[in-house]
Amino acid sequence: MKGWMFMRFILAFLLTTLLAACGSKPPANNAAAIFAQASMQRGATAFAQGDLSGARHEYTRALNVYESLDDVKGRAGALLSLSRIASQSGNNTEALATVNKVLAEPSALDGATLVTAHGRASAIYLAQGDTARADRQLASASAICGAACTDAAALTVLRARSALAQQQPAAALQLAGQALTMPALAASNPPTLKPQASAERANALRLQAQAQLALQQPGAAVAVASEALQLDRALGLAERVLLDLRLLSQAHAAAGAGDTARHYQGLADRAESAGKALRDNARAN
Amino acid sequence: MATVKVAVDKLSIALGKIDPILDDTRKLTNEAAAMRQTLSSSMTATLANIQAMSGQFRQTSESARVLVGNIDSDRAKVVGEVQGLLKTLNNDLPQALDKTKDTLENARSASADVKQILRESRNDIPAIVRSGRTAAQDAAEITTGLKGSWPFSGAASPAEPSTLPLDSFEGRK
Repeated sequence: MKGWMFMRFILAFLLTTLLAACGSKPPANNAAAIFAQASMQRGATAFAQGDLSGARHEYTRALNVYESLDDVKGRAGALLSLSRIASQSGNNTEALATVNKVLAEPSALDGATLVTAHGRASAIYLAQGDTARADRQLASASAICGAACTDAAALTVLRARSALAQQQPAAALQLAGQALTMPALAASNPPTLKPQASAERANALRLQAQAQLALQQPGAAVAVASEALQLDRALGLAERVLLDLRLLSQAHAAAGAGDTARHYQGLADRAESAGKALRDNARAN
Repeated sequence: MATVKVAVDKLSIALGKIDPILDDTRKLTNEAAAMRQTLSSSMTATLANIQAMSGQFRQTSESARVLVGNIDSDRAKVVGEVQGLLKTLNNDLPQALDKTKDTLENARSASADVKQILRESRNDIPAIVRSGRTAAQDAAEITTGLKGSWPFSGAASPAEPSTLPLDSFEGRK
């Protein structure tokens, strides 16, 4: 009976999807908008593959099209993406200038876009060490987000990051724990099933471990950092793997396990060298 | 029988893919758009399998039960194989639909309303199907997402624009 019900379900579901799609008219997009959307898609793909130059090229092209069409929403999406690419490239000044272009026209944007923009600005201010501005951006984002929004978990982890930057490890620990209880950050197996959520979960775990280390809880930090490392490895996030390895080295050292600490430091050094070689090769090519 | 099992297998893989996709419509459109670039397989065989399956529901119930168990125990592998099916579900579908529309509509009538099926089976389906229930209950939203990106419609329109999402790590060096 279960098998029969299962088969009925999957057939009905697939048919519903097929027929609904078949019977509907395609979205009414003009050729320019289609071109811009395709560029956005290619930009996202390039970014996911670590091709920042290619991603910048595609999003810039999309931005030009959206601006030529006076498409405010499309323009905001392209700018937000370019901001992320700039910060990923280590250019936080450019990243901030880019996201501020979005925030300069808030009235024409939807809430989700504004939350992402304020959150992005906050992350950049944190990277620049300006926690006051970061907190103001976070407050703006949270006010729009309310009880829940797509970026709620990332905003909570950013608040934890800000607390830690302000030498408030207990608050950071509490916020990171709060983020980890959010359904959006529930563990998925394999992590690549939900790469964005898994990456954010790893961010929360890393923050938690850093806070525990600051609170003289190295044993707990080792356990949590190990989990973050597993996720980041699975997701192929080399920069974060490097941070996790360093964190594990520090935590083991704080726990009195000098040999293990040196082992992780060696792994971190090797990962850093390999990352540098990859970047050098990319530049040479 | 083997043909039906293949069809069930492919459809089950699709179901395994739909569950995680539901969490983020933007992800759905991203993936569908990315897949569009590599599409090459034909839908004809799958539709033929659906047709065969609709006539052999009861005879294959035992196979399906085994299949459900396999999905529960090895879901990661199942999901990992989904791209093959999605490729199959793409390029030739708009053309194939003309030929198979009657079959599909007959099958839809026979299989009744998805929500009714789910109400009836609420306590009688394994975990993977309960996950799928959410997908079915949100079928309208899924379809909306698919219509915007999936080439089912035969349109050349790409998916919704892909803005890079907020990540609390960004900015760190």
